[in-house]
Amino acid sequence: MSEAEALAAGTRNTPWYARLVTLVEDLRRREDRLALALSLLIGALVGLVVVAFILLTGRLASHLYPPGGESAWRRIAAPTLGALATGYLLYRFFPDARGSGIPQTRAAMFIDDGRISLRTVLGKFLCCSVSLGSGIALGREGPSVQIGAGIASIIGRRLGLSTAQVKWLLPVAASAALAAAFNTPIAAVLFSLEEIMGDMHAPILGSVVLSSTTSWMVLHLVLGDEPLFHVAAYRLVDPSELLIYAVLGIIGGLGSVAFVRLLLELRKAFARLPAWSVWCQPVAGGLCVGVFGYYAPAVLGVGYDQVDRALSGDLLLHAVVLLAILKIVATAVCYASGNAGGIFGPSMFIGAMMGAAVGHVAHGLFPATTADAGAYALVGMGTAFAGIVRTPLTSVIMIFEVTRNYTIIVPLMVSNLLAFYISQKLQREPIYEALAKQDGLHLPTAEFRALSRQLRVSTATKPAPDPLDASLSVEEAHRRVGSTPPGSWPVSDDRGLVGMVRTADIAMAMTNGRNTTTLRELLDAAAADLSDDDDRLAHVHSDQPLGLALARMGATGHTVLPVVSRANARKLLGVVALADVLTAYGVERVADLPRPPEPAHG
Amino acid sequence: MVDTALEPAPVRVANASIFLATLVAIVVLIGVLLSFDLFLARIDRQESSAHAASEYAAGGALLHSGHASDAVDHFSAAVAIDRSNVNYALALAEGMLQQGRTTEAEATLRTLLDRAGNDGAVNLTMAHAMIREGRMGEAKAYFHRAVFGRWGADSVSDRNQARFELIDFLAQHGTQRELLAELLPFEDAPADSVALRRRLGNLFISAGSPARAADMFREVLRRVPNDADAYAGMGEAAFALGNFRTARADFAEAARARPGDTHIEARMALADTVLALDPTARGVASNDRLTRSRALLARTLSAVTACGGPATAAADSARVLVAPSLAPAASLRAPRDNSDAAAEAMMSLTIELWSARPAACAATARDALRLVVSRIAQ
Repeated sequence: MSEAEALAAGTRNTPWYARLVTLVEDLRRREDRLALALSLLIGALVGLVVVAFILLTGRLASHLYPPGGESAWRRIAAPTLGALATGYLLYRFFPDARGSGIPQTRAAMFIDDGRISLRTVLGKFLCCSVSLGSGIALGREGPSVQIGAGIASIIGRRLGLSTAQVKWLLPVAASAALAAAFNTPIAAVLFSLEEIMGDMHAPILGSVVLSSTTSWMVLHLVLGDEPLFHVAAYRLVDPSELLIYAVLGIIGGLGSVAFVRLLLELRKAFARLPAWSVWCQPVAGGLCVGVFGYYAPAVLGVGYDQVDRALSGDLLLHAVVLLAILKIVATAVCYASGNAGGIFGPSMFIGAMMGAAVGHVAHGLFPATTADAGAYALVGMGTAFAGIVRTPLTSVIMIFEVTRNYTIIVPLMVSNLLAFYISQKLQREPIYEALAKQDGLHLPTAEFRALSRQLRVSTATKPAPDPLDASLSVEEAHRRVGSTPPGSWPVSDDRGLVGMVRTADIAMAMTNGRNTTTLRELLDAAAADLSDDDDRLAHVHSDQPLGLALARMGATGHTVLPVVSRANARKLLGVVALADVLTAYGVERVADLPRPPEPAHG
Repeated sequence: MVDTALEPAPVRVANASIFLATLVAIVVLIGVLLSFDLFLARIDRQESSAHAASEYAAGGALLHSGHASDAVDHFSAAVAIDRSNVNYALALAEGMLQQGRTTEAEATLRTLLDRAGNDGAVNLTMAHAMIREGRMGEAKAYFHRAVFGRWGADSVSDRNQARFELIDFLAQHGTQRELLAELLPFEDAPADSVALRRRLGNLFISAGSPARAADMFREVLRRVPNDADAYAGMGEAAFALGNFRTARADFAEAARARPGDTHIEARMALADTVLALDPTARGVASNDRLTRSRALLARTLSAVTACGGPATAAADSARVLVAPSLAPAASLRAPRDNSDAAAEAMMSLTIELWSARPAACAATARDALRLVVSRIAQ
């Protein structure tokens, strides 16, 4: 009797309950259905939580800075006191809720088996609401990602999912959180795969898309169909303008590097302070942004209203230059001092101001051939994002989604790629990896991910030895392979490859007196319980990841696998041996491992 | 008897229960959060709307008091809060226009037109922006779109207002035919709208339809006897029709209705001048007619020469005819038929000279001369 049937037969023996339990049990058993259901539920739940986070933060900000009744002293007092309060809460109750949330989510995924505690989720929600509402110059997107991922982690563990399944839920929730926080469902999917997972071809793509879409729908249901920023229909006025966008890319790249280095150095400096001061360190950030805000209120908070003004070309040159500099310093100090909040939004702010500055100068010099400063602010947003966060594809799509403006995509790509390149050259380590490393966490680096992607089966493929004929007897086969090191040999017939035979199996058959048994019979006996042809013929293709060859060797017990054609699995292209795989991964002491014999030439 | 071996393991049942309970809890939580978010969003929207409305009102007050720059700041704030409100964006564009920021106003209006291309008020403001930029052709098109666009509750009044703005525009920048085309729908304006009829009467004169103008003023006088403006309007209509004596009488009535009005007195004086100058006036003797024709020719020659008129044969002939030595003798000796013929010749010469005058003369031509020459040319 199945669990469902047992439950139905139990004390709550009602037909509807039985049907429900059957349904639930079916859901538990079928991973695809479970993934579908969880994607929808997590997308909706995370979307609603993030919307609540945005609304509550906004309400707190409107109470602390009432429209029309704002006085200058508030601009110093509110962020300072906010930082003091959240600094204590973070120190005393929620130590894991400090900072952005994206490195923490990645750490949970790659180090902590997908585990994010309820305390962290609550702490992040509370502390970020207070700090962002009080005017701390950080963003809401990173925290939203961690809150969303935390919710998914709690749900996954509560549902009794395996560690791997829980880990898979984190990027699903991250995309939902970002879709709601930034109103960018496509960019959220890309960011989740590009930054959180580090793999654009992740098998959870469908779930990520589904949760992002669900979350976005929830956002629109509650807050309506309003883009985050409102931008006029900018376009490339003249092809020569691309040169100015290239200059913007260079400036954006240099500005991004300056911001990242300042933030990392300040963080290092704060880390050197006595441990007892951790609870009050965020006050430094609050005071810094408060003093800046006293003279320039636009520095306070996330600052998307100011970004909107820059995108409309409403801010003058001296204003955008001043705001870019102040925001770089304020965000760096706020983050480094341990306040809760992200750098996602500030990157956009800094980029918009840098872009607007370049735009003002360019339009002043070449009014006939350049667009308004707002167009450059728009491109600058993506440029800084590509330079700071280092996700160029996400940044292009994000700007498109945020502004719903398609016409500026080409300049955006030019500028983004330049900023990305310069940032990569001058600041080797991307910011989230550098931040994690400062916390003692060694997350998979971009280089590692690139290496993993580069290592294909073809890297370790060697020419195949002459296959043994399937009609050969064990005795004859033993005579031919007896002197070679233990391993596996390809076996073929007139139609091509039929399988791999282990030298150990040949030796054992000889010992058991089965000298006349043919290799085909030996292979058939070994694969008697395998119905699938693919399983019977363990193989790899040259374009598959090398890690797959390792996994398949582990599953089949063969230390040598045939590399076959995708068009014809019986066509042997070469072999891949465990020793060669390990050599490709840089493992040097592999002399003892078996290698396939060299093919007989001539 | 139940096979105990097949009974479910307690842990597994508990897992299934927890699984189900967790799913139910998530669904319940989604419902609760949705309600909470909708509640928060509603409060947020209400507060934002109130804030935007107060910014809009403050901006409106500042704009009326002539502080366009401060008004624009308030309107910008209102627009930033509530972008869906067309009135806020429209007020922002109007403020920008008053500030002289026509390019930005145009950009704002274009964005609005993308959303509400048929909105009468938006098209009307766009027409104002086009006038500021000197793009009269586009201004005319936007005026037309405003007239036929969508208006709010008081659509008839707003539409008429837009049409009158178009009419005023056409009176300055359009042809008489275009102006008349826009005026004709008002021919059947409500009879009780005296002010409207007065205005229409004046506009019909500008549109070259003095008979319709006279009808309008006559209707005004029927409702408001002794209306000085209506009498003055009747006088202008009579002038345009060439009925100088009627015009003189109408202006006299206007002066009686509003004594001391310098404009009316000036027009009455002009009527006197015209009547004294007009050789075609009824009851004028032949000799007097000849004298008037010569005087008219002399004034025409003088006016045309003053504005650099061409040295044509007609001008030479005119100079000979108006020579002081010739004039009295010719007039005394000439029999009646000859006098009439001479007067006709002089009037023909006057029309020829007037027609050949340079374009620059049009602006400097004195009213009396223009009226009389137009009259004899009819």
